[in-house]
Amino acid sequence: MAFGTGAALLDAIVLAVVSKEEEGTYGYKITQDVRKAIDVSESTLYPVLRRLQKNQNLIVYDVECGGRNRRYYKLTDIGAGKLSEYREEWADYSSKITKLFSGEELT
Amino acid sequence: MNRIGFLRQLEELLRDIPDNERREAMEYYRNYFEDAGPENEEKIIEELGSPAKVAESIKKDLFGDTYQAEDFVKPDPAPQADKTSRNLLIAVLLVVTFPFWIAVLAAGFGLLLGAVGVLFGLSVCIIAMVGVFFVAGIVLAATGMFKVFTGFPAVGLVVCGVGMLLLAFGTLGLLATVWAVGKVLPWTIRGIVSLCRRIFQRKGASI
Repeated sequence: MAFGTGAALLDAIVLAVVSKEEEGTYGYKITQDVRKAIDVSESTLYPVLRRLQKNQNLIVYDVECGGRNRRYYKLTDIGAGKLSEYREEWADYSSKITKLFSGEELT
Repeated sequence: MNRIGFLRQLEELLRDIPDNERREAMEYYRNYFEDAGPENEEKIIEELGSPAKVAESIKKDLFGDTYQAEDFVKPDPAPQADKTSRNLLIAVLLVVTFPFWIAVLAAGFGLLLGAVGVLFGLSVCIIAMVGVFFVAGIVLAATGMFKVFTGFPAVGLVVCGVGMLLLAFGTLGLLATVWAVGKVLPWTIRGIVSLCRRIFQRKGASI
């Protein structure tokens, strides 16, 4: 794709993907879901998840699964707030770009 | 390379990040392989590229300054480590070169002590000589006088003259000693003191 995915957009996409799972989701699944929307390399997402965890947008917990621990990620209240901020900004941003591209006059 | 080798290499490459960061990252990628299942192992390894690339992406986020740097405490260990390692190096050098510099120090101290000893010896010698000249001069002059008046005027005069000469030498020596004690000694002491101070100050400045 010609358009790069900036750090903030990547954060927003990961928050959106995690928010879809009420009970939380895990690294491999997050990566697969993100890759349905954008093309990112497999090593991109760990630092993003780690950072969102440090910023307390995500909370981490281990779930026993088939005799081993699986690390789950879940949205926190802070993360939910951040996600709705991102949604608003994206709506504003994308609608302007869309208008511009379709030849409409920007007010 | 299978996932075992991949993870082992990754762990090796993450040696220089904090322990908890390394544990987190290793846990994530171990999980990742397990969740993907053995059938996807090869594909994932191929897509991840190399352990070096994965390590790079983790470190770039930990230490890089391009992304929300204020959201995590950026570790800044470089200057501290530098100073510590430099101090350590100096300490090691001091210990290793111990036989050398202790010898130099001892030699210097020995030389100084020797010089002081020589000076002291010379002073005692000169004072003793002055004393001897005085005593001998007085004795000879007195003996000479006595001889002059007891019937050996020629011998008496010679002896008396020699005694006077010795007294003159003694007086000269005394004057020289007084001058030495009054001028040379303070000058020497001042010199030694200022030399010591210069050495001490230079050492103080370099630390």
